[in-house]
Amino acid sequence: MPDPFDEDADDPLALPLPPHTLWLDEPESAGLPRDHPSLALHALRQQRAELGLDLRLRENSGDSFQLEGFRVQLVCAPFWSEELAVPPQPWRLGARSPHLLLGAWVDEEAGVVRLPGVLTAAELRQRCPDLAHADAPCPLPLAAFRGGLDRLWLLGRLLTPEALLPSEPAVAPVRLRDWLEGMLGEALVALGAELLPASAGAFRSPAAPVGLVSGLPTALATVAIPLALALGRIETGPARRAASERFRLLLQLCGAMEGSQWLELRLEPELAGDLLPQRLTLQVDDLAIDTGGDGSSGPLCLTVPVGEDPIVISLCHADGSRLVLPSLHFGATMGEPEPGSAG
Amino acid sequence: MDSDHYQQMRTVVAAPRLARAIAIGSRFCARAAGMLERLGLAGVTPSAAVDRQLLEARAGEEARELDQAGLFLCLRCRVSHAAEQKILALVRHFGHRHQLDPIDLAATVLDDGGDPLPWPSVGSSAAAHRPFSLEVIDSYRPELAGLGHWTRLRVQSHPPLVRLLREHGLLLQRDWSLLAHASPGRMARAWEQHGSAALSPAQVATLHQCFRNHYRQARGDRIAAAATWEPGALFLSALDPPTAAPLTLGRLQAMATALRRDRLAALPMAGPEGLEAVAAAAPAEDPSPGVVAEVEAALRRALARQLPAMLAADGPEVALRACLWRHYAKGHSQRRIGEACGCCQPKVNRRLQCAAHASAIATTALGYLIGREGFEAVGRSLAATESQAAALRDYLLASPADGDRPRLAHWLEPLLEPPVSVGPAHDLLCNPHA
Repeated sequence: MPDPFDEDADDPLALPLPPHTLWLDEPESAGLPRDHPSLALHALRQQRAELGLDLRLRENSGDSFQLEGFRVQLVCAPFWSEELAVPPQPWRLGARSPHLLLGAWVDEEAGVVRLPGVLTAAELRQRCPDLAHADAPCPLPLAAFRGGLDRLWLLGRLLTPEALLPSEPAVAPVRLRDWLEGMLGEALVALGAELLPASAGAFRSPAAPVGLVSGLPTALATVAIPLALALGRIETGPARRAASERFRLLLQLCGAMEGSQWLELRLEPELAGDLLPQRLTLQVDDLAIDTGGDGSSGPLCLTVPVGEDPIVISLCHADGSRLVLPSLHFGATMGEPEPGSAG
Repeated sequence: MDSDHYQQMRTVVAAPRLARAIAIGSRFCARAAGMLERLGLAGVTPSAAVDRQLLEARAGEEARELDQAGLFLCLRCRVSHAAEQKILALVRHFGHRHQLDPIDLAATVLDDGGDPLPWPSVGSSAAAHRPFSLEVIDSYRPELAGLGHWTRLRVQSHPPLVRLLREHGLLLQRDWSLLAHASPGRMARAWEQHGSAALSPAQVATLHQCFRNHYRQARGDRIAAAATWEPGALFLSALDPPTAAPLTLGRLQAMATALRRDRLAALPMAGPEGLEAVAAAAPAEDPSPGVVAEVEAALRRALARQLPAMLAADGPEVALRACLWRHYAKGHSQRRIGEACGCCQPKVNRRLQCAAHASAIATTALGYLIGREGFEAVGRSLAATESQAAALRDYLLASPADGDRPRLAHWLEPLLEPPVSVGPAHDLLCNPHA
């Protein structure tokens, strides 16, 4: 009786090597490391040498390495897998989180490593938005990676981690003048900001806050932006709900309708009597004030004059998270209609 | 060379350069046929049963006399025939796209000229050249499979063939490695698409799971030895105790074949990237006239810096690498470069790594241009830096409107030294085990 599995004359036997696959030199060598991360790093070094690239590559413990200034997380999968699993732990470290994710598909027996590309931390967050809070690894398809090793070399040679930080929002400046008419501006609304009644007395705290130069400000309009710090990241909008360290930024337009005006900023805990998170820095143009690291931070206050120049406000945490508000400008001299406006 | 040439070559006396590369059946048919007749096997279709009969005859008292009369030759023929079928299957599937030369492939496994070997041949290590067929017969386990079946397993992991196919962009992956690396989902899908009705999906899933568990234990940390590991009867029996080991082996191989077909169907059917493809992918969009001079100066400077890495190689590769770049610089096609330097076309692109070097040059040039007009965002924005690097690489790989070759080739030519003499075609044809 013929054996149904005896022979398959049409077995293709071989498989074409997929793009971005590197052969390791001397794959049969007994001295070659065999765990996947070591093989992937071996392939990286091999290609770096073949292209004569002068790039510092230092292996860290575990599955990560340093390429010039970048911390790179290496995640490996079997060679023919369609996806890999990104572990969440390294991405919970705030400012110490990796800057880049390198995916490597490895066959240790055949000595081949496929390196389809890298993802920046921001690109990874788009793919796995809840990774830092997740309990399980995030599956990522091979197609999510792009650029091959060329992209990694480009990053290492021409860019720094700072260049990967989110750029300032490319939105139209917010007109302070609109606040007087009850309009907040879409960019601020998107951050969860709300316009408070001018009589809310937001700035009437018993103790004069540090940095507040106005004794009794005349509040023309007050805007509150709810914020939170979660695992080293400054969060706005719905993302702040799960965080325990909550605070808010108050922006108060002060002065007289006809006369000089100024903008007062106050960063304060959400709950009265609470403390602000440590290592937060509030910056307005070239003025900055921070909460320090001694655990005794009260509100932070700054005052800036309102003039022709746009006002750029940012809030940073020492772990690297940064929030930049849309730039603010008054729009026109108070009390004077802008050209073309009705009335 | 195509299959027709191979068939013609196979039927004539071996050419000098292929002295051991022709299937032996065509040279000693009469002797082999005579032996089969003597054993009462004339006209019998080759099968595992026949193989066993031949092997049993060799174990008898007349073994030496029978071997010298052609018994061992029959077994070597059987191996060579099976190996040839596998080589032809490779050519059938990948010959055109991967530019496989059947004679190159044959030289790696059909290296038994059929000449008498010192007796006892099996297990002998004294011979200077040990044909592939002997390796197969030495390692053969008749309790598991027919000789043809066993030959396929050995072809699949024969290092010279693995290395040769690698140069052509093909991975000759062993069945065991394929099975071990496949997820249960992938195995199920592959069997559904490419398996047979002889095994149910549930049976496949169970056998696959068992195999993966036992394989890890059997292989342990000895991955270096995995390249030659073959499952034994004990291993196979442990996977599925009620089933005979040979049947389990056949099932595993059928599952591996289904996986291979599945992977093949999922991969884009493009051959390895060629130089022409690299150049064609580069759009010919030029930088604005104001910055052309600056860009070209930066690219030329970066090319000069990259040149040592482009030419760097060891041993005989030094002359080959120089030859390849020199002909590339003249604007020759990949085929012509291969012919001129005596190596197969896929090897040309693999050795040159043209696209990777072009990217490295573009990145270096971009470093020179940082801060210049039009390059202000380079180094400060990832998107801008990537887009500018891609533009420079494409510019380098594209031919100018009035040019006949890529700028990289044109600018490279004066940088290369006078021709380095390279001997006659020295590729794998001459030394199949290189």
